Amino acid sequence: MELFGNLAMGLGVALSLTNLFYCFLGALLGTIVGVIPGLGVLAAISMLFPLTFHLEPTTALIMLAGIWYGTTYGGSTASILLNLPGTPANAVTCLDGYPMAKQGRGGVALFMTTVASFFGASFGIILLTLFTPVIADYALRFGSAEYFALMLMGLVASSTVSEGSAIKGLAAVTIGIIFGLVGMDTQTATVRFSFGVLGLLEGVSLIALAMGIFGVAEIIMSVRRVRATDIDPESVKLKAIKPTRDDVRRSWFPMLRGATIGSFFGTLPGTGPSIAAFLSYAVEKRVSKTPERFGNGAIEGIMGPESANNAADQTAFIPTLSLGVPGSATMALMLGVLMIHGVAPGPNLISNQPELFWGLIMSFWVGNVILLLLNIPLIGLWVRMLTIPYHLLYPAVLMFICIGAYTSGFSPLNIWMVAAFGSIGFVMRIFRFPGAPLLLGFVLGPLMEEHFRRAMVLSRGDFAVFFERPISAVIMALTGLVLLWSVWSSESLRTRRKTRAAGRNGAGDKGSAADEETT
Amino acid sequence: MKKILTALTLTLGLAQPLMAQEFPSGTVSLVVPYSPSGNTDILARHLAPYLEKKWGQAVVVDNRPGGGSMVGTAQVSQAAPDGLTLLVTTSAYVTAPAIQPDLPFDPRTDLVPVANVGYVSYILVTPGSSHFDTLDQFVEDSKENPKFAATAGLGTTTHFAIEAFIASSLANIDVVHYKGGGPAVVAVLSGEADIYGSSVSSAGENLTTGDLKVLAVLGTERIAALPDVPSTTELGYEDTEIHQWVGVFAPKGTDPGVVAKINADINEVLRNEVFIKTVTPLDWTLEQSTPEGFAKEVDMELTKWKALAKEQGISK
Amino acid sequence: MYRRDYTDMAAGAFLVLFGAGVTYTSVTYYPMGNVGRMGPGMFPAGLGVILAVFGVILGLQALRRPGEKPDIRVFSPFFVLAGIAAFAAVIVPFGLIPAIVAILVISSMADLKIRPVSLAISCLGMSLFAPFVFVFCLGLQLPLLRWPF
Repeated sequence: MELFGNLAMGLGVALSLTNLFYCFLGALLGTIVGVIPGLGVLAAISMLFPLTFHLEPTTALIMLAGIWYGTTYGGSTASILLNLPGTPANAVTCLDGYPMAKQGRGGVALFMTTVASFFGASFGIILLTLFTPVIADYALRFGSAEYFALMLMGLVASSTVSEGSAIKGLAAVTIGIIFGLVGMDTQTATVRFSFGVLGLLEGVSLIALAMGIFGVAEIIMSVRRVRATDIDPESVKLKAIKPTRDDVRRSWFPMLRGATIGSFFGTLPGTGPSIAAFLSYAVEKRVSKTPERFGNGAIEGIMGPESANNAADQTAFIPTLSLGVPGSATMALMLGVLMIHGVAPGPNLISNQPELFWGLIMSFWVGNVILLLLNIPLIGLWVRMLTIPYHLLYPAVLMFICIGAYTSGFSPLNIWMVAAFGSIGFVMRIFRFPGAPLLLGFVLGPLMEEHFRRAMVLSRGDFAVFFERPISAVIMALTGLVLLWSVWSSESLRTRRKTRAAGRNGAGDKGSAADEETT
Repeated sequence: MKKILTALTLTLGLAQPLMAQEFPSGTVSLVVPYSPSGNTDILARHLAPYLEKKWGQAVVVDNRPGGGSMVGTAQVSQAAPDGLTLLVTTSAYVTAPAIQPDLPFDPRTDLVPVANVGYVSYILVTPGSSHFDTLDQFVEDSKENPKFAATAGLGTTTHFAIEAFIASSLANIDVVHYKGGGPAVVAVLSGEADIYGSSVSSAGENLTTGDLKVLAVLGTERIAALPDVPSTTELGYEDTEIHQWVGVFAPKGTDPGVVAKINADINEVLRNEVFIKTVTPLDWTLEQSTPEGFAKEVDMELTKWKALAKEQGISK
Repeated sequence: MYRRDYTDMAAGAFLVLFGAGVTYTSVTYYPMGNVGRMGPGMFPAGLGVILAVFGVILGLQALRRPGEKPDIRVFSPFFVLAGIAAFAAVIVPFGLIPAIVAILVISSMADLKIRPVSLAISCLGMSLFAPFVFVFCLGLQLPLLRWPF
């Protein structure tokens, strides 16, 4: 079969000594840079991208892909161990990953993340291999109205991810969108909410916002409360990476569901891994029989989203390769590498440059395997870091955050913003508002506005367009469902918790003991 | 006294070329006001190694995207005029100011044009499935059925390209902005937009597969890549000459001797066979210039596009 | 426990104020345009209103249920934020290393316990480690020490 022939050829290319070496180098560099809090994935990739400039196109792409996985993976490490998300997708991982780390299960979380990522990526690769032209074709049917509806759905879903009232989640999303609107409006060249500060022309920095609301706020709440001795030294040994049987059992379906969701969203240029991660989390929480475990270290809470965002990352290659339209900033870089070397993306890429295409695809797999092997010993190292006394750890983390913030823009403005968002994050903790939806709102808000306005221009002012176009109508209906469901279930969750508490005070609750993650 | 004056004049006279002699005295930064891997960024990255070899100093590309290239441009306008910070930007330099009134710099005085590098031409593309085979049919139909035109963003050259066409043809076309060339092309592919002024490389493979149809080349001449496509001037639409060029600028106050040297060195690269061979497939037509000639061109275009913006009602 | 959820009511009030502020700024300073061609002001104005509505709903919900005492800390936020501010103020005039020392010293005071020895060691350690990673390894242009006078 031709497919096997191609795969074999691709494997040959991917496993050539040069390519293997550069893949490894990329993965290693990427992981290290990605772990540093304050350096987002995109910043890390932009820094390392010039290194690929002088290599052969295939090798350059393979190294770039390695860098990219590495940074994504490094980013999850920082999210799980330190609650410092580099991207909105990472913020979802924080929700259950960080509690797991606090419970001494950080090693397990990191290991399972790798597994989920591998699974999701493989799923995406298979889809990519088999269905590229079909998917690219149907992706063209999504216009501005559909994108707006999708983003709205993603945002509404994200408001359900945390405990507590759905209203707070929705409010957090809205606040996030408002922060996202700061800066120049590209449709009219008007600068909004900048109050004369030149540095805000481009808007608020994502890194500053994420580091402030998650990292700094977390540190403020943890100082003098966290004792490193709370973490059992046994738990940081290599053995502690092994997940329990229960963990494994609970992971299969979330990974599968996550990968499906992720593959779908990845193919639509621009929506990407973030929405996929949030939706996967929302779905897992919805279908779980014990949703109250989410937010307290439920393994499904990381398996689903991680699988989703990796699948999305892979399938994002589909529009990039076939339409020449990058699905995300990372894809834009990949596209740039191709163009620098004179390779034109498009539907004929596969037939014109089979070695490049199949070699790249197989190298994704090879890269993921390398990461798996690379990170197992590293996990031990990272987790050991957590045993450093907190009073020494947190100032160093703050320092890294500040340096990281400074390097994106070389202006102290970003650091001031970290301080500002740190205060805002702190206030949010007091009032118990969730941070993850805010982050997603921030990232998606401006995009959503752009699609909304464009849809209105194209429909000449007719709001009904969102409900008249078939795909858009379906998505809006789903959004409505999610909204109703979330409001209803947050109330029922509250009642369920009350009855559980009442039951425990009484005869004892047989069911919950097995489900509860004990500290 | 005379001796002193002579000595003084001689020294001053020598100072100019001397400064140029010392240039560059450190790492040179080519500021590209777009994100990495765009057309301009790639061109700058191809240029850099040649300049590095010539000048014996590191030449690095620094991406400062934002505000339709205005953020990076503003930053260079405030940089030290020692020639170590140069701006490599597109014709957005002359189009964006027509639409953005409150820029923190004046494009006529705060930056000095150094050299033109080259340009790409625009073609008018429509979805492959549309039933218009000539531009005239399209324009005619628009009178009954208003059309939508995509652009790569407010104030970009593609925006002005289509506005120039609208002004000339009096077609009934509404402009819809997208973020970048990629999404604009996708919009035409999916039929969401009816027409777009694209560069040949943005349109890419879609031209050969028939997913995109070309109706005309904007300007007075046909282009080599598509010899059978008529130009808009041929078809009778006057005043539609517009290209996207890439140029190099320096902060105001940069020594004219240094400016002349950079210009000469860039022109040398533009004559280099290997360089030409690398960038031509990317659809660039290279053009050498003098600082004065380029400055005049920039000045003229600033005025021209401001006038067009006012006429079309898109200026502020 | 309070009889009414005062924390959430306060939160609701904040939302209403913030939302109103956003809507007011949008309507006053940015053109609205019409629905077919929305100006920069319309979307944020709408969002401000939506946020205010959320605030009202939250407040009303809070009225009907008991609430817990909020967890308000004073010292940690002060020192942590002061440390970050110190870094921001110090790095441009004085360079990276003084900024590192500033943030390490000030933010560690949030612990309300001063440990001079370990503090000195970590300052030294970080002053070597951070430049190594950022300037040497990643090649970023960060001045280490400066004297602006």
